[in-house]
Amino acid sequence: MLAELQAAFARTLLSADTPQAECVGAGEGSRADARLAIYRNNVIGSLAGVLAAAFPLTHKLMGEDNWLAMAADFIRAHPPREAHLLVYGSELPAFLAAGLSEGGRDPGFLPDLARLEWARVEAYHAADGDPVLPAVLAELPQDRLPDLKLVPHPSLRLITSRWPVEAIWQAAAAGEDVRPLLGAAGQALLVLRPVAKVETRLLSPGEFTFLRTLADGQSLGAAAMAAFEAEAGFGLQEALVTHLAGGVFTGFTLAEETP
Amino acid sequence: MAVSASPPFKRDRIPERAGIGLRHSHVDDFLDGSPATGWLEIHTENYLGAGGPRLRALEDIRARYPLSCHGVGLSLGSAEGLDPEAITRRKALIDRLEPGLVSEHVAWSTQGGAYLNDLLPLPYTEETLAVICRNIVQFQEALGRRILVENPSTYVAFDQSTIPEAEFMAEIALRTGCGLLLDVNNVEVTGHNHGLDTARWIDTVLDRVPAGTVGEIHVAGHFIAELPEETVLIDDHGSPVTDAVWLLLERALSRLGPTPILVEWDTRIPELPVLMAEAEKAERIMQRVASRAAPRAMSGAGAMRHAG
Repeated sequence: MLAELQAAFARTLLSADTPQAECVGAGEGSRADARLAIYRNNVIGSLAGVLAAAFPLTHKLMGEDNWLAMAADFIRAHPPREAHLLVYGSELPAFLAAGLSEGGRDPGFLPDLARLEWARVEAYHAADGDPVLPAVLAELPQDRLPDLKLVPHPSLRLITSRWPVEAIWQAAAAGEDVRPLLGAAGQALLVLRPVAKVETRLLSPGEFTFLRTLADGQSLGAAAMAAFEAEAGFGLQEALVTHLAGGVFTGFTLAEETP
Repeated sequence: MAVSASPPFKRDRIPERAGIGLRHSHVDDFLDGSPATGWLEIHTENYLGAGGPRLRALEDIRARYPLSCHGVGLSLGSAEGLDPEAITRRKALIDRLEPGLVSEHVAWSTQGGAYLNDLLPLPYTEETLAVICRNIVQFQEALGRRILVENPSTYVAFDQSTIPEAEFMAEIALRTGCGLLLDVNNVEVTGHNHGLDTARWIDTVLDRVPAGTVGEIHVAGHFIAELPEETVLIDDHGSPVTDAVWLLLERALSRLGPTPILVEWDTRIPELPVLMAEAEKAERIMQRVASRAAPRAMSGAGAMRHAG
């Protein structure tokens, strides 16, 4: 009985239709329906607020009415699956992109801005980690370096966009008009929380590929090859030292030499 | 990965004073100084992340204040049972922080794996009683400690309910050995919404449970919603505590004796001094009740209380 009641109640709360108290045995008539609607408004309203806090600039640029309509649809399609909300909203950038692409339209920059905001949320709550510093390279046998594998910091997120998404983020955060930026070239960047603050750093195409390949668990040699392919002038030594010093990696493994 | 080298917090009991809820907008006030409050309460769910500055700040503050972990999302009333992952995450945080009190709600939030982020109402039946008691026992056994459960604010009542809410609350404590978190604002909200006698509600609970069952009292403000056909009170924790709720606090304290009191303020959160002033008001009421009770012999179930 309780299981059925809770299933019906949950269905009512996540439905776009007016709640019917009678269907959940919570009284009859418009008074009871209005009371049941308090719960529906709490659920949709509180989750829309949680999402607005996770995507503050996407929210701001969409405007309150558009945001609320999108958020309500998103909540109904993707209610939280965990009993806390620190990382609720991972599917929102793709949901937004799908909605904005309807009818074959160009979805514009908003989904990519949302992806950057989401990466910042994940980085903020990610596990902590102590960096492996560049000095470690000198301690390793130099002929084995191509086999070196690096463990990314738990907060590392890598983003590439056909929009100047980091510049858009900066401008929107400063309350500036983002439209003058929209003609500029796309950007690749990393998001990282080395200690307390979430940072973004712009990457060249080679650097992006290099870090993406390493973060996927491939060796330094493989990452270097991929990076040179993406960017002929890629500076391997400089990129490795810069990102080790920047706290991007928290561990390494060097497989035993095969005899 | 660990947040930092494991700090061995010692479980200290929550004092019989007024505390406040720790909210993100006040964290810097606590990191920069030591505002004078008896203790602090967090919403457990706000700290279930893997790491980061929020947990670091909490550990810094925990080292200096007695702490209570108040859960809002475990869904003790779910017929489908508790999510093992939800228990594991909470246990890890609670083991780490060693809070003086751990509490949750007599409500449900999760159905079919979807978490609805609200404290949803339960029909008060023998079946529900069996479900919630089973879940409470499971959580208490996982934690290896007693929890407190809080009476809800509700806006609807179910046709199938057969047990008055006050009796339902008392019965949970009697069957599971858990303590109660008496939220007198919720008594006021629910009482108004369903036409219950709030003083009698409190007396009914306290007449039935042994001394030491009520480990904490909540006070908060509520929102008065003018619906088309009636006025309904909504538990939004977004305004000062009302006079009616202060009176219920006084009534509860006159039966219980000194008890930890928590001022909740979760929406439209004011500057810290406003919250601290509400807590001071709660302490003055507790002192007034205590001085009135002192001359006569303490007696009855409420005269003694033990740490929760």
